[in-house]
Amino acid sequence: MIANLKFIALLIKLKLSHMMVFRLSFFGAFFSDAALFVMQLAAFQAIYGQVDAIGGWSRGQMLIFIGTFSMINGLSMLICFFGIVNIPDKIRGGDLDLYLTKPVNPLLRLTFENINLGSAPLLFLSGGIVAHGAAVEGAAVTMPLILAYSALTLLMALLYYDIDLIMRTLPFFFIGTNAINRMTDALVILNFRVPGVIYKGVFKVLFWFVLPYGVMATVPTQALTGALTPLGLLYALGIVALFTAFALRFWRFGLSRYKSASS
Amino acid sequence: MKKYFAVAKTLFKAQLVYRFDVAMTALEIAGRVLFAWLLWGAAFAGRETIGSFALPDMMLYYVISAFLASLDMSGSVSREVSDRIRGGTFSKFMVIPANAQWHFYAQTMGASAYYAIFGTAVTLLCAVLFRIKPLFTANPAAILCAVILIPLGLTFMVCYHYFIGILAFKFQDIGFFLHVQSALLEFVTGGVVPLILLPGRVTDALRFLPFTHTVYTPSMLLMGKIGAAEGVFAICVLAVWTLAMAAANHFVYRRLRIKYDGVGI
Repeated sequence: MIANLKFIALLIKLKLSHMMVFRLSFFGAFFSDAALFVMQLAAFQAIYGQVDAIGGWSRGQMLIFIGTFSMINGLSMLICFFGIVNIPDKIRGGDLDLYLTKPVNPLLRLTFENINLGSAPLLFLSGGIVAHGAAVEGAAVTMPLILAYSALTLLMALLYYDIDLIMRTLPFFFIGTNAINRMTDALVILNFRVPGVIYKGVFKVLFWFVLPYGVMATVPTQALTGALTPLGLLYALGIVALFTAFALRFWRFGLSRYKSASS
Repeated sequence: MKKYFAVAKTLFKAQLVYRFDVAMTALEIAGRVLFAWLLWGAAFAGRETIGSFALPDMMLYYVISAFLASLDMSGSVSREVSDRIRGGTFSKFMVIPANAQWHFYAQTMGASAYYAIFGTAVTLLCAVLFRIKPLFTANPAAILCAVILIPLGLTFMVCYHYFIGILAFKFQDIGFFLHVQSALLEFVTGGVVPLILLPGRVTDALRFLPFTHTVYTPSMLLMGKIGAAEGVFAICVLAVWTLAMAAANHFVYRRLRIKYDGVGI
């Protein structure tokens, strides 16, 4: 465990040295994602200018939802996104060999080797949106509630990572890296714009169980606004445990099918 | 002119290789319509109209705008131009007897024509699946304005993306610009919500920008939500912006190309 932490610290140091070379790109991820979320806020502002509620959710709840999704996305960008996004290319090009021959867990290195500190301001921006949403909603925010919300958001960031890892592991089985990136982006954008409470029927099954993007920002929002039921909480915890176990097993299974560049 | 037509024809045929990209673009149309169906279905609960739109109007708006947005293949121009400049293969466009800007224009039009075939099929399929009534305007002047605006909008977008691409002569990494502008563009073209829902002062300001007239204005014209007079205004605004952007590209290219130190130079 301590050896892994030391290794992660070394990866961060190396990454920071690398980022100094491309100074303009340092905050690139922050500005591009912030632009996306600001546009999303503007879109919902326009809609709520005309209606009082969407799917039973008020303006305040929607603001918390957008802020929470932004927070989960920010955590992913900060910690692991830029590491695992390249997994399909590494599988296709045989570069994964370099990771497998090193005396360290390849997934640990892939996950933490491209930490992007330039995304950190996105967390503050997201926190601001959530705080504004809570104020608009008039939610009675207490310290235990903030802690519960934070814990759930971290768990949902783990779920986001799990799904991302599963999608990026698929190229072990077939070629089509660009396709997977585009499909993942399209699913994230759809779920970022549609709160989970709106899904009904087949879409509820799809986005609450098969690819649970619909759970991610919805559950923490419900927790902060007091709308989360004990059953909803149990479901969220269960789905995170299930997907984490599955993602790790799927990764190991994929690795066993890997045809390296040197074999 | 003949050589640019040949480029367009070649790129049209080349799209046969990228079958999954075609499928994904088609799915993106379906995704936008699905988004509209889910979100606006919930927003319209117990309401007849929102901002002069009934639910069928809103769905029709998203079907038309998703189709028009799918025709715009210009996003790849900025990426290809910048990648070629950084990779040193832009030399090709400096030595061939063709204007680089118009080469990319022809290339994009060829690709757009191919995608239009599948885009039309998916759009019709979505219209059937989501039971969207084709409530188009009967005003021929408004239809004519929309028909002029669509290719003019595509032309502007190619010029705009070419401009972003050639900035790579000056800046080492333009990925930052590409990401930021893509998020803004989808919103200001009316791809996320109809711009009529925005506050009046914002829509008034957006009327003078070109992006609004690439997707939003033609969609509204075809639906009969705005008249031909607004269409003529949009054509004038877009034409001025397109000419200005083409001139800016010519000027910037002449100024910055001397900084290029690619393969064979």
